[in-house]
Amino acid sequence: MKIDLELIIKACEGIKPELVGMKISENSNLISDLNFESISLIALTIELENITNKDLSQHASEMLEIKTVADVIRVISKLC
Amino acid sequence: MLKKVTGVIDAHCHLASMKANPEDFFIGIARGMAVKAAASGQNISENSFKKILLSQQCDDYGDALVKQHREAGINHAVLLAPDFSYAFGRVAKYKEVLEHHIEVCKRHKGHFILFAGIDPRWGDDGYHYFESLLKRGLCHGLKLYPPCGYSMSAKECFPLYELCKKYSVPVLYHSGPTSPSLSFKFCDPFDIDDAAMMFPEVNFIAAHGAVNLWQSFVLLAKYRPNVYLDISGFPSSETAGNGSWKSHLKRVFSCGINHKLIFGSDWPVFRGKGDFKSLLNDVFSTEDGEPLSESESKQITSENIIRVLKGNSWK
Repeated sequence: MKIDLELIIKACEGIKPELVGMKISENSNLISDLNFESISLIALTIELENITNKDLSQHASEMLEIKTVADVIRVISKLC
Repeated sequence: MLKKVTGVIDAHCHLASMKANPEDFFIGIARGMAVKAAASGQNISENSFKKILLSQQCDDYGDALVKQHREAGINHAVLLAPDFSYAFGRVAKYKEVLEHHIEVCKRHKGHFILFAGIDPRWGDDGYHYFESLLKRGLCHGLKLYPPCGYSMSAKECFPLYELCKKYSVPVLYHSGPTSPSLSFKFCDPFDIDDAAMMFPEVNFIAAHGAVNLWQSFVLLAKYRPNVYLDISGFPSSETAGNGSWKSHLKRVFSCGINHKLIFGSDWPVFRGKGDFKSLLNDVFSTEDGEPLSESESKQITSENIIRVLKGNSWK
């Protein structure tokens, strides 16, 4: 499965509909730019599990290092 | 020795580990998250939240915590080991939990200052164990968690306070809301007042006191000489309706109690708000109000907690 910017934007928008129409780039910081907080960060992880069919709870250390959209692409691509 | 400590001290952090925190604690949190998510149209089960929350408890030996501290120039931290074992199952696992924390402190020698959690209802057993830790210099404060079902002013706590007085160590206690798996019955700020009056030689730090129910806590800190507040748990200020946490902290900083405020992160809880470096920048930024003077910043980030610890050394 190809993990790209478009896929991650779709996942983010699925969790936070207010992001639809906003400019999201690989440099976007999930917390400071996209206003993710603890619940929505976990929701994003669960959404990514659904998309990739991977149990991401087995990779919590890597998931906790994620700060930007680029980090999401890098970490999830590595795991898929 | 503490007097050699320089720089920022994180006076409130925990291990992100199932060796420190029971599963029951997260069940309540997951339930609350699922309710909130459902209200915004996300159909995520309590179990899904629980699974991810438990998986995040993956730093058994504090390596990730110390790494993040060091990256932000934080060289010392108060490591809290709350005792949930009476509340969840009545099985005295607190010694096991504390032994693990002691091992972590040894692994990161000089970094952590351990505050031992002992539920006062363990009675003599807890009393003697706490004293043995104090005698051996393995802990430097008491951590209490009233949501486990007791008042800070209950007479069961007094023997432990006597030890704190004898060994000149402070008590840090949880205040305000917590996991819905526990009771909110004893979160009233004035619950501490009888104990603080009866033990004027013992310093009490209300964890999160500057954030939740803060106006009463500010009053206590202002007029009760041995009550201090830590500023950890700042994200809760938003859910408590205090506006953005940055502007809320600025408001607290202007209350004339900066000599009683203590910086703490509540790691790993604050992970969803960024890293320590950005946290420190945000807490002491010049946005949203008057900046703190250098001397006030120093008080909050290190001098106040050092004073409360009364110059005790740790290994």
